[in-house]
Amino acid sequence: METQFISERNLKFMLYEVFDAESLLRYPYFSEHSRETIDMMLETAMKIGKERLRPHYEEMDRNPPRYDGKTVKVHPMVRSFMKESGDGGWISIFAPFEQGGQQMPLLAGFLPTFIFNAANYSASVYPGLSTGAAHLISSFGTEELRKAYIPKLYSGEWQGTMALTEPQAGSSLADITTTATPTDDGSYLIRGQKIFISAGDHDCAENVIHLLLGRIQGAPAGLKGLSLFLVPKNRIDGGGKLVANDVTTAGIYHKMGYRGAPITQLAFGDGDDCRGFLVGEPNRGLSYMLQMMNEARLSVGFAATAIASAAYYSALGYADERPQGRPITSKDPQSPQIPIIQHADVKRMLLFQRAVIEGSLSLLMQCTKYADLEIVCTGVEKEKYKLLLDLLTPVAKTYPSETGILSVSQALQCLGGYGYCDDFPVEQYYRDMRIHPIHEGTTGIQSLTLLGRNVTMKNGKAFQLFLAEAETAMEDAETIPELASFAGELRRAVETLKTVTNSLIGLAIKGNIDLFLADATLYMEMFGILAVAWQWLLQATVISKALAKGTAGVDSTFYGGKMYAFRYFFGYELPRIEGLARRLMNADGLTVEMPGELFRD
Amino acid sequence: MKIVVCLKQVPDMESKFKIIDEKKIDESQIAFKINDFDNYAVEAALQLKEKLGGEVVIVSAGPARAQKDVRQAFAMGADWGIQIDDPAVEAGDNYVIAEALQKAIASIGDVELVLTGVQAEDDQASVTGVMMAHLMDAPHVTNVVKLEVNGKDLTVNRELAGGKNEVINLSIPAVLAIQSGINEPRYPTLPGIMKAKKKRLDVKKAADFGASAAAKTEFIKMFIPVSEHKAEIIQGDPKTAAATLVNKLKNEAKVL
Ligand SMILES: Cc1cc2nc3c(=O)[nH]c(=O)nc-3n(C[C@H](O)[C@H](O)[C@H](O)COP(=O)(O)OP(=O)(O)OC[C@H]3O[C@@H](n4cnc5c(N)ncnc54)[C@H](O)[C@@H]3O)c2cc1C
Repeated sequence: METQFISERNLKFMLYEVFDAESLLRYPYFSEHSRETIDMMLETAMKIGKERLRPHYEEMDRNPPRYDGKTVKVHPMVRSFMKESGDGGWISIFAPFEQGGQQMPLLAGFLPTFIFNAANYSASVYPGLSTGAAHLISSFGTEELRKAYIPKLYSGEWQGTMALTEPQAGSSLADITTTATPTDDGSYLIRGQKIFISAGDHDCAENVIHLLLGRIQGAPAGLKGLSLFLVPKNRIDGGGKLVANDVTTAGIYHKMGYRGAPITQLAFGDGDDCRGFLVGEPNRGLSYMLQMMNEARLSVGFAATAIASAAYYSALGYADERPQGRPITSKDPQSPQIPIIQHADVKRMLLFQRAVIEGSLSLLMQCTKYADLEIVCTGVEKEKYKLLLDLLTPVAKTYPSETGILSVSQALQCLGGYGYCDDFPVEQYYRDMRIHPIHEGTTGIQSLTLLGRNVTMKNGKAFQLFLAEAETAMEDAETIPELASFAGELRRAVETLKTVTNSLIGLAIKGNIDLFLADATLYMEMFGILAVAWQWLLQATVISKALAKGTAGVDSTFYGGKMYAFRYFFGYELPRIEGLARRLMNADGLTVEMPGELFRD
Repeated sequence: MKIVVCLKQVPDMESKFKIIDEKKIDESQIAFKINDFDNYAVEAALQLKEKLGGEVVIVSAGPARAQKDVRQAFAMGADWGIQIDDPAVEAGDNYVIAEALQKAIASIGDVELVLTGVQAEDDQASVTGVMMAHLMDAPHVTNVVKLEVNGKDLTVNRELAGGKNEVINLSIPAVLAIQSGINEPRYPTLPGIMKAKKKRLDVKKAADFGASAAAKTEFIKMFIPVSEHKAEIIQGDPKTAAATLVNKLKNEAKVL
């Protein structure tokens, strides 16, 4: 069975050759790190992925969490992996040194999790959730909360969660009804129900710390009335002991994929004794939560890319070895069959996957680099990177999630009938992959955010900055003769995007908001393809320069393969935006006007 | 307790090997890593240090690229190290390396225990440790699967064929070849990785320790053997296949 699930060579290429990670390390904030430490971190993560996570991948799917009416039992490896993630400093990877963290640049620091995602997605989410929860507490919580809760989250002893969703409030967080009533001691009595809460309860953590959105009694309706609370499963009493905090698990859901991690239904305060602690100021919960959600959205993009990568290597291994059929031009039935990797159509499927995976990873790493620059820069520069990151985050979440499904589907297709059977892990990758366009904001909602908010925010400033970034990349590529025509194609695509964007904004200005946003998801698709084409052009530029310098010698296979994937993206994927543009320019309002009852026959 | 672990950097055995001129491996396509067996030795040393105090010193003979793996052991918790970066040692046989390692260890002073892995994944010679013990005039035990220290006495279990163990007493200073499975080697931690780059690593030549042994063996060539064994899948329904098999075992293999 194929053991490779990720290309280490590609990670190093992206880190050092495309995104020049070493330039970040020159900023004092990151200067404790070096290429050597980053390499050692990646090497260790690969070992953990191979030795600790991958061996449990199928097993955790076949034996999903069980709820016995009281507790949720998960695979015992979760306990040891959480401890290892704590001891190893993986959970606190981004936190500043003074908070016991590793202060790692995001550009490099997302990669260990990316590796873990590819090795075993379910296992990898447990520590990741704690990272997000602890970051929220450290950003907005009081000193007291930080001291009491962060160390145990970082050590892996306690599990962190994000608890937003309620039965009537999924995409529509404005409808959250969980209530918080102030008490004399400054804490709040929490009452409400949450559903779909990842790792919301399990037997491999001593305690679970929920970062929960609720509404203080009397707060305004809608998003403006949401506050953020820390609600532990077990609270710390006066003597420092843990006592039950009236959070009960009502059940778990049985999922299609990603079955090694539970999603729980939780009841808070059924016995009127559930204490929550306000994080930050009242009614500002959503803006705080957005910080975690934006990181989580990048995490989803990485995870989707990681699963697609693992599926690609399965497909590649199979395609290399499966003899089937003969060259189209061969007439001799006695001649030996050829491995399927020699068929053009199979190569097309493999190239599609590679173009999607390596393009997605590039876009995600671009975003993490913007996040790092936002940390270390000041003034106008800081604002610039923040805007770019804000603009692109929904794209970097959605493109890998949606296109990743197609990518894994093509991986499955490469295995023919075996792809559909559980003898190979690809059918599991396919099931595991499907969650990504749903959680952390559905594709529909991400698309509304992109078009309805991000593209126009600050008078379109973020969008202009994005166009300028693409322009720089095109001008750079145009200096290389063999890339000039590709740069030209991207330039035409950018013009198309501008035209479409202006036309849509025109609808908004005229007050046709329904029409403006009706096809936001198609706009997202178009934007995603263009953003990934931009990233491929950046990669091709780096490679062409290396080849010209003759420094690419021993890596001719790697660079050669990459250039094919680059050409594939421009040749097969980029042209799709023309069809999308045609539809987006058509404001006939077909989906807006069709009445719901006409869907019934 | 002052413990030395001898650590070797080896090619990742999953790499694609190409032999140049029957002399050496083409390194350009190869990733290097710690000899997996040595990880168990490092872990055993770290566990002893955690129990008894003292220090763990890594000694490695190898070119500059080996440094990253010495630092990997630092990231696991080893204190400092010596790297013998000397083409003459590299070109030598196991004896030359054993002598260089032994002299380097002697230069540290008061080393009580030297641990190695049972073998190197690449050349699988399993002799360097034994030769070192001989040069140190110290006792040596191979295949150690359990290790207890009582003052100056060591009690070790040695793995025998068929899952049996024998128990041996010896006293320090001693050299032990640690068998895989004795422990579960820890992974480097991120704080450990950060500390590793600041730990002391002395880069030396053999002459710095007065090491000058000549090789005792002569290397002739290296090649990938052509397999002479062929597997044959016997076709047909079970009855005919069984008959064919019996026939072959009788007449071709002549084992029936
Ligand atoms: C495996 C898994 C893990 C999860 N983990 C967590 C977690 O840890 N914490 C947590 O709080 N939640 C979690 N969730 C919940 C998840 O975030 C929600 O499922 C998601 O936000 C969608 O909400 P919903 O399921 O209610 O779907 P709905 O909101 O009902 O959406 C259904 C469909 O309608 C579309 N739609 C909805 N509203 C609009 C609109 N205004 N305009 C256009 N289209 C719209 C959506 O795009 C979607 O296609 C998890 C869910 C799953 C399945």
